Amino acid sequence: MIYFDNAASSYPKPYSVSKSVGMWLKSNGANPGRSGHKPAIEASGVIYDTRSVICKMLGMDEPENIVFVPNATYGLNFLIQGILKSGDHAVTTDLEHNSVLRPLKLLEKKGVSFDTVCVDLYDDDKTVDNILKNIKKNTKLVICTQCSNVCGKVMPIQKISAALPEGVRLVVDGAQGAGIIPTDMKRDGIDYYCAPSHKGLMGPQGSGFIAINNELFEPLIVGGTGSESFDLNQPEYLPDMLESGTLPTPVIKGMYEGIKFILDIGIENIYRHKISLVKYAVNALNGLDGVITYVDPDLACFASTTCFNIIGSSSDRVAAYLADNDICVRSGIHCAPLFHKKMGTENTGMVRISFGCYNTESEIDVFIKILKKYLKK
Amino acid sequence: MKIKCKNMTHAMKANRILYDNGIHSKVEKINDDPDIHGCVYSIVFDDRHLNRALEIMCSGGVILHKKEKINYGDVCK
Repeated sequence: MIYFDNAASSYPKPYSVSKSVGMWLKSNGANPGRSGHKPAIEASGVIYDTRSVICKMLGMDEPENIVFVPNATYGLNFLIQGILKSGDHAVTTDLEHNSVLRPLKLLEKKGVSFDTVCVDLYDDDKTVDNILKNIKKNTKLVICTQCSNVCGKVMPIQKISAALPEGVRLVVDGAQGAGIIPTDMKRDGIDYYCAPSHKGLMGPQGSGFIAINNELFEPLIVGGTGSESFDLNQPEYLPDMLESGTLPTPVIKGMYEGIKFILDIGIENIYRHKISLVKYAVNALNGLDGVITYVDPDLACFASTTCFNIIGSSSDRVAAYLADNDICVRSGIHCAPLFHKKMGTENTGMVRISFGCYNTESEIDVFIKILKKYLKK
Repeated sequence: MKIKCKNMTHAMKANRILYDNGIHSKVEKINDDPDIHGCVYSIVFDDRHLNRALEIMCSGGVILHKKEKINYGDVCK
């Protein structure tokens, strides 16, 4: 099997991840931060060490500013719905996932307004200008993906943050960037960043985090934190304020091992590898008659993911043929409706191929060979 | 020496940074203070390390439990 669906969820996971999750489930079932016995203290150690390794990955100093959430969608909802209030305005882009667009749409009913700006795939300055043109007096947030989940465009986060007026905060959706694009919250001027465990961080599904580098915001979920139990108000300090209920320790243990794995390889090295695989794949696809590609990776930075179509075939049909030949890709709209409108593919969708750190050029060669068979049919 | 921390995260933080500085410690749940209810944790270490441990914890951003302000309020937040 060739697995080119890493933007949906990375596979395979490093051995250290599956081993540690299995071992943890066998050896410790305690609840972190609740009891005082040895397994509970050990579980709390796992949680803390994972906060620390996330900090290391993001150039942050305070592990308590890492808040665990079930996944990136929850993280984005916590941020968007927690920060924006009636009368506020937000700016986002046409590369965003529905996990950004739908919370904004929901908030429209509560008096929040937003504008969606066009990303120029090849001119980052123009993109920054488009964002700035839409900043208003009441703009509180700019919400931007770090890397498109369809075309792999790497967004100019540092340029965007440097250009924003004071008081406008930047939320970065790291779902496709975490563990793939070198990130430093302070250097890059990111106020809030969220990511899931199960994509570039190589961990299991079931957890993610928000990294907080600015003011706190209202929690969407409140409840048991173990701390201040007689106070019916939610604690107002991190991480307790935003982290109610039992954390999924086995998943977080796996996330820890996944992040250690990518830090050992080096995120710079992973980034280079994934850029080169995209270039290799797009060049190979461009050599096939009847194939449409949508980006030119020689003109801008596209990492990890790319997309194509075959003239006269639906993306679903192509993906099904590839699946029959043991190649895993994803077809359709990829929860990014505005990107497809931008590219004129709202009716056909696209076939997305997304690479992980284990993928190789020779796997792309096999994929191209199978695609050639499809084209001959 | 037993010092109460703001929450489990800060107790763990104290434990890890003390370890990095060569001081052995452990995290314990408070179970001997009638005024404390819920899950409050302390960092426990040898008495002879008190001054150095406090300095390390405070410069490392460990926040102590509000009850400890009486004892160490001038040193730590």
